[in-house]
Amino acid sequence: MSAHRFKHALSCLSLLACLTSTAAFAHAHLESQQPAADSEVSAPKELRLTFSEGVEDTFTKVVISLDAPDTPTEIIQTRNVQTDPNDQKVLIVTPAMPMVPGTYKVEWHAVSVDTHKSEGTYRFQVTP
Amino acid sequence: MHEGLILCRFIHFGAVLLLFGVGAFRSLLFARHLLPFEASPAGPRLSRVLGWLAAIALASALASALAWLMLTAAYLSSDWSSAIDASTVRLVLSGTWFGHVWVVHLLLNALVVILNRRVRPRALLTLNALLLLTLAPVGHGAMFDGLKGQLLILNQMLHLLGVGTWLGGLLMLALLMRADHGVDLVAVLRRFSGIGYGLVALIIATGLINVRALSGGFWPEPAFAGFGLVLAVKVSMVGGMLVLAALNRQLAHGADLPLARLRLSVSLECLFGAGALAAVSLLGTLPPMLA
Repeated sequence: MSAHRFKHALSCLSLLACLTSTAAFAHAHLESQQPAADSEVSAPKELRLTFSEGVEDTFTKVVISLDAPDTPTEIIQTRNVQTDPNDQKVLIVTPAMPMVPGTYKVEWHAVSVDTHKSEGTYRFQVTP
Repeated sequence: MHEGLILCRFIHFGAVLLLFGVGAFRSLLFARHLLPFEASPAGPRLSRVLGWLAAIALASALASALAWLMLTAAYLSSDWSSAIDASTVRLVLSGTWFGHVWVVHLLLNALVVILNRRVRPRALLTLNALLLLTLAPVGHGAMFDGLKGQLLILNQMLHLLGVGTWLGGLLMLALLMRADHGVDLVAVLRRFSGIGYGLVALIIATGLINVRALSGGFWPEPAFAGFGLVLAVKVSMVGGMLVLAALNRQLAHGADLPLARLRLSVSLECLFGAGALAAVSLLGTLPPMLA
């Protein structure tokens, strides 16, 4: 490979860097959750999110909101967002108040142990 | 923030790899071969050049390590101002796996800066090796917990040691071929290509294990997009280095040493190495599998 073509290859690389950096970086995927997505359950005390790899609870955010069709969205305060002491892949979210019946939306923004971010949303229903 | 992180990774990995590799070449692998060089008139001059290079590499390593930390704080909190926010930076250092590793890594880096030229070459080499090894746990190696994670980090350590020795050795060869200094170049070249066999085998084997563990296959899916594409670029760079290494070996075993061609070939090999390193810097920020 000549020096010219090498330069060409290098510029392709930097171009690639620009292109890929705008894409979403999915690293920790949500594998399962309790209560499960789209399920109907009686009021849970906590939410457990199980990821494909360990997450850093210091920088992982979970927003739970009561998502009723007619009323304005209400953000549920969380008391605690922490990983399971025995398993860093499991994130335990404890709401500050008991969860009243309704449809809940969970938006998660996870930071994995290899410092990559990922995010997602799911819903579940609390029955009376 | 991603562009900044990629640049930090490139500068930091490059500097730390070369610091270790040049040190290993000078005070471990070729210490005996370099004796006539230390005594020759050209010796002090090249020593000075190497001293300057080491000082620049150390300063860039420390600066890029700090920038890496600040950019990580900004990236994790999705806020540029967090880069200079002491509480967020402290939170990264105290509350994340990356931070815990980085505390040790930054301390080592500072120690090498302070002790550079104040301790014996072998002691400095040990510190530089530790600096290189503490780069292994950050990045994709942290993806797995338990034994698998630890083995993958160990694998990455071997990979880094191999790569550092190869790249640092190439830089030393390029420098040695530029000056007249009484070193038996033929002997050095032959020995380096001999060691090179082992190094390349180590680098390829540990590299394959890495790809297999991260992507769950022999090659990531999709093969030529994202992670797969950058990996392909990296592999072709390393392929180019191998072809040139084989060429160098041929040249070194000829009757007389074609210095001009060797110089060109080794310089090109260094460039390929830089290209491979650029690809690696990008790889660490891409997801290895799309689940």
